[in-house]
Amino acid sequence: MIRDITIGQYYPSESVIHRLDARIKFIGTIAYVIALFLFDTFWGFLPALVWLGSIVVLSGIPIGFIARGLKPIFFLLVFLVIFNLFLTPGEVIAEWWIFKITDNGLENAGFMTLRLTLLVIGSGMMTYTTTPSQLTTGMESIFKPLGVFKVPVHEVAMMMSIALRFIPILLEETDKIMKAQQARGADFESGNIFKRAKALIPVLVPLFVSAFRRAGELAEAMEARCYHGGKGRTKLHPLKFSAGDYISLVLIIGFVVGMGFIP
Amino acid sequence: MSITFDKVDYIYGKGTSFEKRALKDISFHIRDGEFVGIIGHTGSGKSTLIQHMNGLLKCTGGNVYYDCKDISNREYDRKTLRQNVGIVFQYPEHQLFEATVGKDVAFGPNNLNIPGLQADVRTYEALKSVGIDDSLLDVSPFDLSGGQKRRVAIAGVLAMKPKVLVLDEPAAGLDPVGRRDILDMIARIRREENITVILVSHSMEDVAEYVDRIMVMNDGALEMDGTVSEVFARRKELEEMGLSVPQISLLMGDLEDAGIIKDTGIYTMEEAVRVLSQKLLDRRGRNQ
Ligand SMILES: Nc1ncnc2c1ncn2[C@@H]1O[C@H](COP(=O)(O)OP(=O)(O)O)[C@@H](O)[C@H]1O
Ligand SMILES: [Mg+2]
Repeated sequence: MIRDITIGQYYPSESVIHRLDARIKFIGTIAYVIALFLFDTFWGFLPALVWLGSIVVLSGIPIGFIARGLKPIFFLLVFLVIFNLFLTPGEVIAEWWIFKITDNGLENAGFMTLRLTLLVIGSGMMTYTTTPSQLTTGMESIFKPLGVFKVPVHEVAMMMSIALRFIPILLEETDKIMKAQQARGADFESGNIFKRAKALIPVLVPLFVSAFRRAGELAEAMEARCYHGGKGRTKLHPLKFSAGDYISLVLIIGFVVGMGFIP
Repeated sequence: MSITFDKVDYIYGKGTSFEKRALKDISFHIRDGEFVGIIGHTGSGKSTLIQHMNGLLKCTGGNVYYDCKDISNREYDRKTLRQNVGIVFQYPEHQLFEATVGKDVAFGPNNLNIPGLQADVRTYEALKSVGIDDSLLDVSPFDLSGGQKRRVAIAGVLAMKPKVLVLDEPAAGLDPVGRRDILDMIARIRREENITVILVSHSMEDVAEYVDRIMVMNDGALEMDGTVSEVFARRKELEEMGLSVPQISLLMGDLEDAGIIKDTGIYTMEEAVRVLSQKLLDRRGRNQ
């Protein structure tokens, strides 16, 4: 079930977008998100759609996979539509019993849905095409200047990549422990909320024990390989801008500036 | 309880891009009291298979029957099924959670609403049969050694008094002496309790000596199902599946290929010694 949610997952491929520098993709995503909020007429969606559409096509990721990324926000979208549709004051264009649809309501609902959908798909594209380790390396490199203000950039990046790496492991572990306790007659599905919360103890205790054990083992393994923090540490795959990255950077700047001019 | 799998299929993540057919058309029947080994390479579907035995996973095709009753039936009592079929998962020590050994073992009986005194008796008996001393009853399970933890976890399943005991790689990660001790213990429990035991392993050597029947899994399919000698007689196929055959079987197989002996499927040292010494005696007799 958890595997159904595609947002945040990596979709392995060799496309142009996959090969771009993680920093470019990060900056591009931030720029795209800002640009989405720069315009307030429907005209703005045209360039945004073209931009996102070209990225999707270039990345070669199936539409079905991207659509599943919208699943978690589906209900949010439905709520937004309903609230905007019926509760926005304005000129009534359709009426039924106590429900009134206004022109402003229709516009707002459409606007919100499109904007949110574009936002989610757009940020999803970054994680689909960038491995978590590339992403954290990229962010470490972008935020490196903050080191001047004594921000432990490397450490935070390292913690992030370890945390990301552990999420699937811990999910799998939870599944295993739940099954093992169910085999001993544990019941997670019935009873009131207090009973259910209590039923989770036999899962949470072993889960914490195992998380601490894994953390300890990892720390030892890192020390055994002379990990000593970020100072003087080199990268196996150093980030390097290619021609494609420079072209993308120019395109991104062009896109944002262009969006700024939309009425 | 007799177990019947009829054309069981299982697909992980059905309808997603991670779809994986982990069980392919599996059919077999296990009679009451049998001692069965399930062997297969890592990823061949052994763990997926055994999770169908107490309804933790529901097959995406086919049916599972106990004593001819379909467990996917709405009226089938799941709770009793979980009690009757005890599954000891791989690395069972990772499921310990209580403050004391005694409480942890009593978790199963408590879930079955067994009255206090009776639950205590079961806990005590289960710990005794896995060879854990009473002096450890009030010790935290997290303070025990690895081997002791595993025994306590097995006791936690035995305390449910299952009629079918399924163990997934019970000897994994133990040293040779520890492996032997655990497997000997399982064989002894089977004799004493007179229950059906299903032992899962990726190692032929571990299982061959103990079980009566071997099922070989390969890539989600049940490739072989027969007595130990029947299965070992097909050692070439086994090797192709990446399964190691006990060394004595290899030797006997080579002798057979060289036309020196005729017997096939010998897998114990005693049997090999008997056959070979007979052969030598025959030869000497002929020469004289
Ligand atoms: N929870 C799961 N989700 C998706 N695939 C799984 C899951 N568990 C196992 N698999 C896959 O099913 C196949 C069989 O796995 P498993 O039954 O664990 O094999 P074994 O126990 O023989 O090593 C493997 O290819 C494995 O990757
Ligand atoms: Mg397994």
